[in-house]
Amino acid sequence: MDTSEFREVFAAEARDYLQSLNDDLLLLENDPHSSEILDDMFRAAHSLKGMAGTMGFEELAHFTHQMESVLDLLRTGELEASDRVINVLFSSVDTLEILLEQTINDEPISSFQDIVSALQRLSDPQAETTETKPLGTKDVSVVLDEFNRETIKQGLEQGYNAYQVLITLRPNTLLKSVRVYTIFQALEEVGTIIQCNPSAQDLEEERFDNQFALIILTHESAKEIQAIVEGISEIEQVQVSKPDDVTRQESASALEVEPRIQSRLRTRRTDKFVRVETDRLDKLINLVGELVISRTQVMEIMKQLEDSEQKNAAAQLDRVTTELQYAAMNLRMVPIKQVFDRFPRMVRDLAKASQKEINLEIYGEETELDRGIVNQIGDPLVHLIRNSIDHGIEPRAERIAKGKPEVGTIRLGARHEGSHILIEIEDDGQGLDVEKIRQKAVTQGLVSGDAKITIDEAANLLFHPGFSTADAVTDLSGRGVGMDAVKAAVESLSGTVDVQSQTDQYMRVTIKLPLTLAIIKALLVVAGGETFAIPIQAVRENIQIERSQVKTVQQHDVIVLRNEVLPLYNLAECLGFEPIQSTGPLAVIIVESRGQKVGFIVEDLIGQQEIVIESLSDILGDIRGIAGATILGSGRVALILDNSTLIQ
Amino acid sequence: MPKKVLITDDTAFMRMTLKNVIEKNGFEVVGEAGDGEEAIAKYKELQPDLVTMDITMPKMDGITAIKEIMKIDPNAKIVVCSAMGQKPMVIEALNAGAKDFLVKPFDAERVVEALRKAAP
Repeated sequence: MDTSEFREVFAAEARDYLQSLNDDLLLLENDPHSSEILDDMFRAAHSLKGMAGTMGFEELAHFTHQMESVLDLLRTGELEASDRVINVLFSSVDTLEILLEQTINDEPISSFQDIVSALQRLSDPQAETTETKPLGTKDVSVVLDEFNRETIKQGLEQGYNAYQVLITLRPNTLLKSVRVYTIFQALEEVGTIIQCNPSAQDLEEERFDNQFALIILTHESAKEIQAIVEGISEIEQVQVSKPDDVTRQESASALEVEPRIQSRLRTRRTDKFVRVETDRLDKLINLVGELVISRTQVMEIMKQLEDSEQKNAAAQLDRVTTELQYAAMNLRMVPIKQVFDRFPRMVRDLAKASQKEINLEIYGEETELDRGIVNQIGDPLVHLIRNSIDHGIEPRAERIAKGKPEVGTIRLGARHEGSHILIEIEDDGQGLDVEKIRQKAVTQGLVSGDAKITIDEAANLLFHPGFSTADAVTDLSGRGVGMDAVKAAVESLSGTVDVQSQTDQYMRVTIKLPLTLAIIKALLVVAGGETFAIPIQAVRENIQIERSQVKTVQQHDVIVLRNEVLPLYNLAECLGFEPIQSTGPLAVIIVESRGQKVGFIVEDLIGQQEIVIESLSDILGDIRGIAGATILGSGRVALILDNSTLIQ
Repeated sequence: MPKKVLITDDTAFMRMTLKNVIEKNGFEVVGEAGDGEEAIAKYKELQPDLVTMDITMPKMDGITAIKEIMKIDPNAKIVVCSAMGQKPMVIEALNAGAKDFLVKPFDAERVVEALRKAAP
């Protein structure tokens, strides 16, 4: 019974349960008497406890047990879901999150005595704090968890016998764990071992003295079990008894419906999904990427063939590979729900802290996007939502004075638009304060003192590095990281940010992101004799110019394009290559980033192509101007240019 | 009738020590084998009640030999002998069908207990 391989699955499922507890708590706050919510929470805590117990994570199991006791009282109506109770439960879920991560990562477990005591006071007001069971206890009798108690109960109904077997090994036993193994092996031949103490893992790693206990379900009699164990070497003593736990708990009627519900939940959870390590997925996706490249090579060779049968085979290979490519890319897609899920709780906490009433509406949470983006979009969104709560939504009195609904609303949503995903954060607060932004901009020397600015220009100023209008740094936002950080984060994901606002009505931030980061359309160009790929969304146009059209302004080369003066650079020079001199017209690529257009002279244009992005290894690290590499159909490597840093 | 034992170990010294302990305690050593292949041949020839099997041996290791003997006789009573730190191999031997295990250096009482319990 080595549980280590289940660790990841356990962690992932446990996190799901914690999320569901969090969600339920938010619902419960608005509907404190809903038995449906309470039942759901109780089940989540209960399942979590059972899982933790099975894994031998005692602290986690113990803590969840405390929480479950409180939930049980709420469920039966013996305890009222008051604000105090709900706050304790919120803290408990937070504690569980920490506890879970510490347990999973084998970190030292912190003491959460305060919150444990708070839970205990709720479940038993008379009880003076704690008789928490110390770890490494000498008492080896098995304390059944409720899941196993149920299993035993069902076993008894089906005519099995349940025994607790207490075994003492001889003091000088060598390879104790193997001895335990022979005992388990012998007993598993005649029955099923339900649980043991110490845990199977502790037994395997020889973290026990000479005594251990186990519970077995079997058709054999106690006498036979005794004889089987005594027939094994190095046994000092064997005691077979009925586990009193089982009989004592048999009358507990509350448990009777439980196993059915639990098994139903289990099937629902496992039927449609398989949890796979992301590393394995990435490996698969990378291999498909390689295959796509080989396909291109094969297709090029096949072009020269005459034989129609071979051509058909090649066409078939081409088609299947393309489908495989899309299927693999789909594996990278995850619903944005993963990110959105944490916001209801965050908004609740922040709204309480700033004494505002805020309603968070979420839509389109099932919208899928690239896992790589999902992992990185969280922080910018947190920042934007904090901004809305902190600067957007007005205090209640002010809202009433303005004739607005007392409760502020933040709408957070996602939707697809072509090959992009749009994420919108909108609040019905005070909108942008154009005058305040203007003044700030004046003090920062961004606009002249008497200039008038429009609301759109004000929005653009927000993105200027270091620009923040907050009068005081609050706990919620500010802290020097402003909209410019949001913009930088989004642009690093090849996305754009747009702000729209009406004073006193709304502020809406729209983030536009590509669906996937793994494959992009790129323009292939030659510079310094090497091939480079430029992401197509940055390319505005490509033109041919005569050398005479290159002008010099303040010792910089520029070109004039439709009355716009654009700086002009030689791409090869920018990248540190010796530019290959030629005569005749020049090929120029116009690239735009952050509203700034620049022309790059290149030696040749190869054309547009979909490329698979491979990140440069850690050895090379971040190279300015280079976003990654790709392997071309010819098998050659081309570097992908990072337009935003290149322009700088 | 004393139980017939086949001793398998690649060192003559270990075979001698084991033989000495086993014969003093009412068993009959009917044969000795120096590697796995020899153990299989002698098992067929002598049909012993018990076999002691070393794990690390030339030609054929003990675990393979246990698997082969169990194929010939599913009721074979084999006690595997291991050095310290061979835990995974011992488990493999037990899974292959060994009835018990002994850890070197041997303790006479343990050897006798293992043999008695393996073939009661």
